[in-house]
Order: sequence, then C-alpha cells, then structure tokens
Amino acid sequence: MNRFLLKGLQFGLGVLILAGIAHLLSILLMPKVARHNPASQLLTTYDANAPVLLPDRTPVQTDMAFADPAMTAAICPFDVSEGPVRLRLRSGEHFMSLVFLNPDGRISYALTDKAAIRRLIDIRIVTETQLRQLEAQDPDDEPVQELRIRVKEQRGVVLVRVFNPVPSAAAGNRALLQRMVCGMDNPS
Amino acid sequence: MTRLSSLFSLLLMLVLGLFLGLFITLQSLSSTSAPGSIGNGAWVLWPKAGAPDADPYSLAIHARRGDVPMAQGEGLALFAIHDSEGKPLSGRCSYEIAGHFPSARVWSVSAYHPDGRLIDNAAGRYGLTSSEVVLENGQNRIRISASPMPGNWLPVTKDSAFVLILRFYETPLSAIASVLDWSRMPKLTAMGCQP
Repeated sequence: MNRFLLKGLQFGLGVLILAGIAHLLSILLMPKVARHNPASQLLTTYDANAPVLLPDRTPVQTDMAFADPAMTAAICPFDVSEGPVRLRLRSGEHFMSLVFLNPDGRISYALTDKAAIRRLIDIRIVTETQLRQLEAQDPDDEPVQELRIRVKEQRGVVLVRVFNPVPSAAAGNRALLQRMVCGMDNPS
Repeated sequence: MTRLSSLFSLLLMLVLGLFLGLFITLQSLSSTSAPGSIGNGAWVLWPKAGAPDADPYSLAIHARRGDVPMAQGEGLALFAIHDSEGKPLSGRCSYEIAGHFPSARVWSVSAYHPDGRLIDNAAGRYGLTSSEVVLENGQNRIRISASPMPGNWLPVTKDSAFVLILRFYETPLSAIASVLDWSRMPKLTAMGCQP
C-alpha cells in the first residue's frame, strides 16, 4: 500500500514539475512564436529602412490588434547591420510618440514630441560599435544636434503615432508623417 | 514487463505535464489577474508591459493578443472586459464611464471585438477623444451602447462581447502605474440590459 502511495506521489510530483517547466517555457517563447506579434509581422511585411504610412484604423485592419483609432501611424522598420539608420520628422501641434520595438515586441525605447528641438525630431539609430565610431568623429567644439539611440538588436521597428483630437485632424497628421525620413544614413 | 510499465508511466507523466503546463499558460494569458497585471473594478493594466525590462507574462500577453503596449513615458492604458460587478461587457447592455479623469495631455476611449478589431457601426465612430467629449455638469460622461444615446455615445454591436480601452497620453500616472489611486480613476458601470 505504502509502495503504491509512494509511486503515486512520485508520479504526481513529476507531472507538476514537468507542467511548471512547460508553463515557463511557453511563457518565455510566446513573444517569439506568437503569430500576431505586430513587431515581427511588420518586419516581415515591409522593407527595412524605408518609411511606411499605415492606413487609418478601421474594422478591417488586422495588422495591429487594439490599435487606437484616434492615432495616425507610420513605421520605420530598421536594419542597422550595414550602418546607422536616420529617422527624421517634424512634430506638429498634436501629441506624437515614437516607440522602438524589438522583433519580439519588447519596447526598447520611447519618446514623445517633447524631445523635438524646434519641432524637429532627428534620430540616428546605431549599434554600440557605430556609436563609438560616431563619437570618435564628433568635433569637440560643436554639440551634437541629433538624438542617437543605441539598439541591442540589429533589426526593429519604430512605430510613430500622432493623435487626432478630432477626425478632421487626420489629414494633416498623415501629411506630416508622409514627410518622415527613414533610411540608411550614408547609403553607398 | 516492469521496464515497459516504467516507460509507459514516464510517457504518461510527460504528456500530462505538457498538457497541464500549456493549459495553465492559456488560462493565465486569458485571465485579467495574470502575474504582472493590476486591476480594480472593471479596469486592468499591465504597468511594466511597455518598459524595456517588461516581465515575461506582460510580454506574452501582448504578443498573443497582437497589440503594442503603451510605452512607459508615453502614457497609460486601462483595459476592461467586464463591468465593475465582474460581468462580461456585452452589446445587450449599456454602460457609462464617469468620475474623475486623471490629468493627461489627451485621452481616448475605444471599443473592440475581443480579437482586437474595431467595432463596425453605421456612425463610423470607433472611439472618442478628450477633445470630442462634451462635458456634462463639468464632468466627463461616456455612454457605451448598441442603440444611439444622447451625449457622448460610443457605439458597440448588439449581442456581442466587447473590450474597452481607455488611454491617457502623457500622464504623470505612467510613472506610478503600479501604485495607482483607483479612487481617482473613472468608473465603468452597467446602466441596464435588454432581455
């Protein structure tokens, strides 16, 4: 009887330990394997280092679930493996945010239009090595005007969103985002 | 024979462990009380989801749902899948969001199908913003219903479950999201249901 009970306990404990491992692994792997992960979906759909103005949010859009319909959005899918990527745009009168997404959906950096200098947001996306090279070339007597954002992963997406306080503001915000620059810094 | 029975027992243990583990994962990701979330009344939020050091549960929930979380510094998003009494939000009922709205540069409220799509409606209105909402007696009052309502009306589909998201952009609350004073947040209450 005791032997039977002991075997049962061992079996139950084994199931619980395996369940715990399976649960933790599935939670950790979810961002990499989830079909709907918007960052990986956008990186697969669009070319890197070119701006993309996303369509206005309507019930037919499925690329980004639960997106705010009050936002006009554009993306800059970047790949810094060949060199730094430049992202430049003007801020307007409405709230604007820039969110840097890793391929697994993790947000690595975010800023709002408050970071704009004279309504210009000028960003250079760089790796650690590229940042060191840039800093070595910086003149000593001139402050750097651009914002340098160091990324750990070579690929990612910058999601740029502008708030439309009323629906009629969307046209102006779309025009603003259409002028966004996203590309290789010094393409050869 | 003993070896065969041990092998069978080990296989059974593996299969049961795997299924149980995946079942717990699905349950915890569908729940509004998953690790990493905080909630009060109808609202739930994932305060660390938009941070570079986001916890694995928040990351998994947003990846499975297919949405981009609100970044820290960008603002704060409150989700509701049920009303303040814990009943799932349904198009058969009408609801009201009222009470104290925290300080923010702008805010918006929008309704979605549970899969994240916006709700199609004849008015073509998928959400309301702080600029569109007309104050009633000096207060924000938003009514959510499948039938037209006076004032600030957000349409949903009759006989269908839905999700509400209230977003506050550029709010000082995003820095203290994990210790929110819920008495200073808007309330979501059911106003009545059709049979």
